Amino acid sequence: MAVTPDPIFQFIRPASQGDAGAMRKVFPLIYSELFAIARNIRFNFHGIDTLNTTAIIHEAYLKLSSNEGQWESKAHFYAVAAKAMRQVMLNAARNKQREKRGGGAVTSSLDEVENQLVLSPAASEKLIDFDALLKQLEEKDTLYGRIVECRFFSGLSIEETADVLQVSPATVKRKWQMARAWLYVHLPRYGVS
Amino acid sequence: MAYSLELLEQIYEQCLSLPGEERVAFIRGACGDQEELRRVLLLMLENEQQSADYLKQLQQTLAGGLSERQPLPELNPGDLLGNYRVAEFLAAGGMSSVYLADRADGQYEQRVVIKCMNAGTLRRKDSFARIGEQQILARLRHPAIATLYDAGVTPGGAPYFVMEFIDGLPVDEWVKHKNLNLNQILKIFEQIAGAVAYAHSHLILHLDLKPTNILVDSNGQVKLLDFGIATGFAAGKSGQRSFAGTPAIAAPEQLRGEPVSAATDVYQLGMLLHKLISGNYPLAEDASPSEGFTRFNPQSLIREPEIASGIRPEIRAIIGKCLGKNPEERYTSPAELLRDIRNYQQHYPVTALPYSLKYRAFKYYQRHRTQVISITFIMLSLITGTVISLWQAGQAKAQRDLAVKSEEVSTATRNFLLDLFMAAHPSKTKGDTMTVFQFLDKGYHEAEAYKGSPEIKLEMLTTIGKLYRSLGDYRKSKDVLDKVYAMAKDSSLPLSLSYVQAIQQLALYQRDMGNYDSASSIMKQVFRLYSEIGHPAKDSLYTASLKYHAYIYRSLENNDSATALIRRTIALEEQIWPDRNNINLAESYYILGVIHRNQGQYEEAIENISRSLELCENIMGTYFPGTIANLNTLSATYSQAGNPEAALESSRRARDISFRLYGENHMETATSADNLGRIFLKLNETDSAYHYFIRGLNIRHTLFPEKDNVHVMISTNNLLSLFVKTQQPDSVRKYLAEALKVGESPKVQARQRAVTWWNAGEFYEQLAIPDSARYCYEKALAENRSYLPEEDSRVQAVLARLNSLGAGN
Repeated sequence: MAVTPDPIFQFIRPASQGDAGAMRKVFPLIYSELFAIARNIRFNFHGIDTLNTTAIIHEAYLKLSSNEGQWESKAHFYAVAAKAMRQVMLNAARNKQREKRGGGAVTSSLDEVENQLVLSPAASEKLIDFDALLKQLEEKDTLYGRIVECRFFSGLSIEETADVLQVSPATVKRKWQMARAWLYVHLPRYGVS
Repeated sequence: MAYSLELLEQIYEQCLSLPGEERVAFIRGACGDQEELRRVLLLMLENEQQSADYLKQLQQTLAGGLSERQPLPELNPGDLLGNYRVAEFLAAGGMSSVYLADRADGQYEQRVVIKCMNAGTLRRKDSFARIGEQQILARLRHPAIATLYDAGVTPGGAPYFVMEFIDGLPVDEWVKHKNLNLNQILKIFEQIAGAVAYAHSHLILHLDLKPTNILVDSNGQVKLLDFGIATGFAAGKSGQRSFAGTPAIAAPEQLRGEPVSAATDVYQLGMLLHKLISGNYPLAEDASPSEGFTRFNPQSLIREPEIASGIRPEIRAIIGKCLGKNPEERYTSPAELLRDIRNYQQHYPVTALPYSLKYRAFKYYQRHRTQVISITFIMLSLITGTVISLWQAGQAKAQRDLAVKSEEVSTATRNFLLDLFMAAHPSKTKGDTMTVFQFLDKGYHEAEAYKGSPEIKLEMLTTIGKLYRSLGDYRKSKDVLDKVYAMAKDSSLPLSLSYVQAIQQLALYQRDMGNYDSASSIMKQVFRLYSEIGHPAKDSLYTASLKYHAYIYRSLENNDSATALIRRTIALEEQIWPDRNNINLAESYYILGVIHRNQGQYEEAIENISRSLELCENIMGTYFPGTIANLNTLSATYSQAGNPEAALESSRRARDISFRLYGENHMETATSADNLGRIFLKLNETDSAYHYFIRGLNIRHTLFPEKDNVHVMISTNNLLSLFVKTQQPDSVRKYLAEALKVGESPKVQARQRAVTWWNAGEFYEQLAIPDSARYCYEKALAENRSYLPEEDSRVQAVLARLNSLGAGN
């Protein structure tokens, strides 16, 4: 505890708990870091069979934290990074779709970077559908979104997610189970409205 | 939606807590008349497992999408890369695409594989910097390592590698296909570990030892692919905390982004051995990838290996030792691992099981301890590059002590080299790629600063000096060896085999510098020391020394002593390797051939050199330094024997292989250029001759910038003969002056001075100044007579010129 916390970690906790101002401060940083790492990992892994977003976020954490950090700050970081990861992925997927339709001149440099993430058209479509459905759940209760981000994008355990979001593990478990199955059966092929 | 999510959540949770058969009825009851709620819940229940799987899969697809390859730098059939033409596309991997290609310059048929990294894999600057490193990689010559022939950058900016084409199966499939038993698997594994140990002795780690990188051809020959490529690219863009390789077999330190070392390859070898024996990696089934990363503690990124219980306890112990979480818990090198495998095969106790051994077994181990240490030592010495086969030398007490002592020395040296390994890893160098030279420099400074035992320091410096020399950096090598010599003169140092070897390095350095007299007297000292420590003659170290000395005698034009020594070497070597299929013998035949050639006995020369060439190609393959030396000498011999066509063919092959193996600035490349130039001169193609001579000269100037540059003498003489032949007096005068100046150096050999004077004589004849011509020919005659018998054709040729001049008077 004697070490000065990294500047970024001063904002992580409030950001992970929904403080929009703090989120604005850390988000771009984490976002761009996730990019760099995702690209780097692409270049460095030969066999991609076990790569997942959690690995990328873990890399980002190692990179952004100069000290070992505490369990707690890591958890909050994972929560915020999961949000960023969701955004990274979604943007890449949308770019892919735009590309497919042959439109959408890419202007900003960040977009250019996003374009370098090679999501397959099928994966892009799946993600966009997934995200749209998740938004429906979030409209009813924002907690769904945050739980899915933690569990799905960041790979946090039930207990870890509960700690980060300051709800009970039982709630996380219940909402996660439900959201997972609900999202799945609402994917287009099931035609559930 | 027409229902409350909260309600849906509650019903679903309760439903899942019930036994399977009650769930549907529960949902029907709980939903009452809410049709849509019931339909959704029933669907959710039905798809509970599928939804979990789907999300897991989507998560991996997304991450996979991030790491999927970019559009490739299109290599199409017919494209030309260097000397190779792309034939067909084979496969695409995460970061590269693989093509079949054929040699395109029509010199000989050769099928190769081109591995083209995806564009953007590296920044352009990096890829150029890496080319130099590929030359180092190209030095890996081992029957079980696929040879890297060439590397470059495509016009589109993608780095590519040209590699030996291997028609084989991945090792795991081979094992399955052949239904190999444990002992057969261990034999294959020995080949693999041996190749990795060999690469380590050349300071190259593999870091991605998965079955698809290890092929077995139809003869059962193992071939490792992608050596050093993982290392070469590990820096990635950020240069830190990223790793190349396959996560499933990655060692903990790789996953943690910590420095890798020889022990990292040991870990992967352990994973591989388990897979070959049991068919799977030693990982718990439920340790699914996404779970692996869920804990915050970095330690938990690492899965606990679960070694299959069906494997024999000794092998389990060996694999367990390979898979130690910390590098220090593992075997320190593949060589040490190999030793334990051999212990197992020969029914010795394995070191991985020391404490659980029964008392008797432990006693047995103790009884044979010395022998075990000797084996260890041989293995360790593979790493330090100092091969000392004391084991063969028997068990006399003096030698046993020596073995123990030497082992301490070698261990220290080895650790020292492993440190270098680590230092060379990009994660320790802040993203800058350290070249082999840079980290040798680092090692040099560390060795100099070493304050421990002078013996260890001596061995460190000797190793470093040797590496510099073998990499062609003679100046650095001299620097280091001067220090070795200064230390060696200190008589307080105890006599040991490493001391003898250090002294020998010095002789080799003097030889390389052209100081043959001094090299010869140092070699005599080496043999005195051998007898003082009671080293046997029937031993490859001893015969190696004999051979060096023979070659030095040859350079001194002392053909009788050279012949005697080399014949003795061959006799001893044929006893050591009765099947005669050994690379050391190839070298001896070569030297004998060179001596024959020196004496104008071209037929015998061609016979011996061809024999050596055949052995080299059989044992080591085409891309091997010995092959080049043989081809170069063969070419020169053919040329002297009046067969320029055969000469040209050998010479072209030599140039080609040499350039691939060494790059431009290397003595062998210069020699090849000289040979080609001489042949073209004979064929009256003076432009081509000029081109090659100048190239040889430039290489020599680069390699040896000192003022009294003896090596430049050869090139100067070549150019001189060219300008005499083409009658360009200004150029002749320039190079003649140069040659005479350098010729004053005592390091220049008589035959080189003779060539200069001969050319000068021809020049003055052309200018019709017979007195000057006669003076020059007389000088040439004197030089020739100083080392050749009267009947030699070169003496007679000069005499003939003198006679014709006399007649003309």
